[in-house]
Amino acid sequence: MIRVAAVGDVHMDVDVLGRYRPSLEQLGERADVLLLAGDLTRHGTVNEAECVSREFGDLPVPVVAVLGNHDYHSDQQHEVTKVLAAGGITVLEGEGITISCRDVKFGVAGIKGFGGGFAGRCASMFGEQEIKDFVRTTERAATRLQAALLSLDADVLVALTHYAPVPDTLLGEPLEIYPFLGSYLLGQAIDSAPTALAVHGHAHAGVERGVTPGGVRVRNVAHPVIRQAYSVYQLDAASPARTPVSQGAGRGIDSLSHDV
Amino acid sequence: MVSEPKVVDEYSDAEVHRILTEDGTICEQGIEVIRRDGAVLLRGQVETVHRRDAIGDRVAAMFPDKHVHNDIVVTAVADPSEPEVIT
Ligand SMILES: [Fe+2]
Ligand SMILES: [Fe+2]
Repeated sequence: MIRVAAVGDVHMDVDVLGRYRPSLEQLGERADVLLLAGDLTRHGTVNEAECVSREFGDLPVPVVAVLGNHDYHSDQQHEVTKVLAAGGITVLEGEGITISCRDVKFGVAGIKGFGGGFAGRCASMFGEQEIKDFVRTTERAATRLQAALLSLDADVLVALTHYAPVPDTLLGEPLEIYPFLGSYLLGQAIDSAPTALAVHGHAHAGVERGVTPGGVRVRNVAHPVIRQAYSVYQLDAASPARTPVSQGAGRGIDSLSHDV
Repeated sequence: MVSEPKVVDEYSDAEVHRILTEDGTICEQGIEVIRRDGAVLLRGQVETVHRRDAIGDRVAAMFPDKHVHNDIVVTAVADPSEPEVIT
């Protein structure tokens, strides 16, 4: 059994410092790991990253994060990542890690992800270069997420993204902005591995619970959605592993182009 | 003589949304701006009282002749509820 605490979209700046600390004091008793689902800062500055590091660093459990779109706003995502890492927070962008916890090998693969939309209502690799670049960005993210998930040898496998892998957890958001909130390609990547849970943020007006077409439970942990300091999910290593879903007819992620 | 350009609500709504996102002192994407009977109603969630008030002030400055109802709430940071068991 492993207890996964998670929150996203904390949008830290000096004015938020200390808000989460009271609830984080008991984190060690409630959870074995804390996942941060991106949009950790307001504008993606080094100063704000230092606030994240102060608020979510120095905790009794490992802290694993992905960045969100806000964390890229100042083009300082590399510096932001460095500040978080210096504070003991592991930032994933297309990588995975395993954490051993009471005989359970817990694996988490993470990436920010990108938009693009959902099956039947999504952008395609067609037309202007700008549209192709948009779609290619999502495809690359999905390919890297899939590779990271499949590279992990874990008893319990979790996918961590900022953008949503399914439309279920966007309920409450305007339909018109769904293509900017996530992509079905992320869901397809999650379904291709024996993933037990997918955690994301970004959709502040969405809902907490969803499921991928392949049956993986999805949780939107954006702070305005969960309305508490973090949520805790308990996952059992003994439960039968879900069978990964093949890509079905047509193009799978395996066949996506990787040309730069 | 050229008449004054007509203010089209839909364009000014679009501008308000963009300002709330792109103004470096605000940077909020999910705020609803609703116009009712000459008033402006703001809805959404932010992390601090300071951010809520900054949005209210910014929108009030954009609509000097309208009353702004600021119904934005500060998201709670309460202790977590019981863990959800995922089987
Ligand atoms: Fe956010
Ligand atoms: Fe976001």
